[in-house]
Amino acid sequence: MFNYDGPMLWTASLFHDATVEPAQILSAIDDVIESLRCKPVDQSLIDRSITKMRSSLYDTLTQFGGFGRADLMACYALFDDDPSRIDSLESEFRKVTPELVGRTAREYLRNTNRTVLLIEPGAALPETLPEEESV
Amino acid sequence: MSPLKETPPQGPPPKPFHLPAAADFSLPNGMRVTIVPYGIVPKVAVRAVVAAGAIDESAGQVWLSRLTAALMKEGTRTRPAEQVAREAAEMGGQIEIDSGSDHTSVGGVALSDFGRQFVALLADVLTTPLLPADELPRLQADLIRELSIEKSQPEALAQERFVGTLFPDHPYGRAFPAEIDLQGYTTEDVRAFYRKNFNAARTHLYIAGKIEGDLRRAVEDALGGWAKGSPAPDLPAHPAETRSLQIIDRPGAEQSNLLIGLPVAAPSSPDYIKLEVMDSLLGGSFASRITSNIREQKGYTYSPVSQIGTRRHLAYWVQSADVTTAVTGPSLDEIFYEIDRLRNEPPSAEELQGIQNYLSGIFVLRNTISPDAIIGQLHFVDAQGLDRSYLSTYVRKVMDVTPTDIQSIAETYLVPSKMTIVVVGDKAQIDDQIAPYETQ
Repeated sequence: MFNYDGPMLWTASLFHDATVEPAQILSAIDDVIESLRCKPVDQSLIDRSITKMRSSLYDTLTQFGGFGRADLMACYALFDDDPSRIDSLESEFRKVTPELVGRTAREYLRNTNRTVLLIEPGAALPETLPEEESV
Repeated sequence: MSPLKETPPQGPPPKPFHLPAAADFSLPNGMRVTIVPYGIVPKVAVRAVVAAGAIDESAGQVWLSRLTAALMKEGTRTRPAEQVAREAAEMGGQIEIDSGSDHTSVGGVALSDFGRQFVALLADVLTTPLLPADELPRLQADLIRELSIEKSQPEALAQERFVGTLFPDHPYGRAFPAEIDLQGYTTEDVRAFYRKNFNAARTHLYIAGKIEGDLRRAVEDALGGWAKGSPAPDLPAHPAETRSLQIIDRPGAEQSNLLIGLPVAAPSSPDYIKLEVMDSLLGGSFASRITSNIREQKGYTYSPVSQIGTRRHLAYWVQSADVTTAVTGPSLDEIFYEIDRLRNEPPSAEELQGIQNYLSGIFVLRNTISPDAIIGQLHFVDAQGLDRSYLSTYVRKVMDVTPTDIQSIAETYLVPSKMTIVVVGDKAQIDDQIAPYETQ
C-alpha cells in the first residue's frame, strides 16, 4: 500500500442475502464511517492498527521473494529521489493521531464522492441495450 | 544500444533449495512439532495441521468439517471471539482456520516479539473452542450463501462432477452438500465432529520464521495437556480409471467448461517428480503445449491449465479449459492431439530445458516467499509420508529428467481410455461436437 503517489480507490465489496436490502448494508457502513468522522478514535485502536501495519509492512518487504522491497525502493527513488524512505515508514506510522484519523475520514470518506455498484441476479436488462445477434 | 547490452547473460545452473535445520520433536501426548528458524524478517508463522477434514464426513455430513472450522473461530472457553481477534491483532496477526479434504489448519503469522503469546492463543483456539450454539444459525446461513454462489458457477459444477466420478463412494467425491442437510446440522453435530476428530495424536504443529524466545517451552506449556486421542483412521480411496463422458447441460452457455483427467502415481512414487515436469510441459505452465495450442495459436480459450491434484497418498492429473461453445469439439480434439503427441515422441532437449528451468526456479521462489510457504512444503512432505530430503533433492531430480522419461511417463500415465471427461455447456449446441468422445 506504500508504492504509489496519488489518489487511490478505497473499496469494500460483499455478497449479501436476497432478504437484506442494499440500503441496510450501506447504512451499516455509514454508521461505522460516521463514527470515524465525528468521534476521535481510542489511542489503543491506533496502537493496534500500527502493530498490524508493521506486520503487514514486513510481509510487503518479503513479497515475491524480496521483490516487495525492491519495488518500494524503486518507487521512492522514482517519486521522491530518496530510496532510503523505506527506512522511515515505521516511524511515520507512529505519528498518526486520533485527530489525524478523524480529519482524514472527513476529507476522503464522503458519501458525495462515493460510487455504489450493485449486481442483481435475475434483474431485467435495461431496454437501451442492443439486441443480441442471432446465431 | 550494443548487442552485448541487449542480450542478457546466461544464468548459472539452478541451485538446490536448502531447508534450514528443523527441530522435530513429539510431546508426550503424541503431538508432533517442527520448528524451523528461517529468514530475517521479524515474523513467525505458527500452524497446527490436524488430520481432520472432509474425509471424516459421512454422506449426510458434507461440509460439516467446514461448519466446525467456522464455529471454532467463535471464541474459546475463556476468551470470547472478539477477544481472540483483538489479542491476535495486538500481536500483528490473526488466527485463520481452514478445512480441506484431509486436514484442518489452525494458524497465523505474528510479529516475532509475540511468538510465545501467539502459540498460547492458538493453542486455546485449537484445544478449547467454545463452539457456541447461538452463532450456529448465522454461520449456517453464510455457508448456504456460499453454496448457492458456488453452484451458480459452471467451473464449480464441473469440478463437483469430476471428483464425484473419480471418487464414487468416498468423501473426496462429495464436493457439495444438499442445502437441506446443511440446514439440519446442529451444534451437537459440530461438537461431536470436533470431539471425534481433533486431538493431539492427529496434530502436527509447525513453527517457522524468525524465532524469538523459547518457543519449544511455549508449545510444551500450551499443548502438552491436550488429550492424546487416537490417530486418524485410514480410508484409502480408489479413484476411477474408466473412460466416461459426463455432460451437464447449461442452456444458452457462451462457453463450455472442460475437465479431463485421471489418477496418476502418488507423491511417494519415484515417478512423481517426472510427472510434475511432464505436466508442466504438457499443460501446466504458460509455455506449455496445450496452452500454446488452444490459447495462443487457435484462440479457443483464455485460461487453459493442467495440474496434478493430490489427496492423502494419491494424485490425479487434470486439464481444465473454458472454451467458446462453437469450438468445444475442436478444443477436445487439440487437447487429445497434444496428449497423443507427447505419448508418441519425446520433446526436444531444448523444450524440456526451458520447463526444467522454470520448475526449478518457481520451486525455490515458492519456498522462500514466506515462513508460511515453508510450512506448506513441510506439511506436504510429512502428510504424504515422504523423506525431508524430497525438498533438498527436488531441483536436482527435476534437472535429471530426460526427454525419453517424459515420453514414457506420458505413455504410462496419460491413457486416454482411462480418462474422465466432464463438459458443462449448452447441450443443444455441443452434442454433435462431443459425440466422438461418447465411447472409446
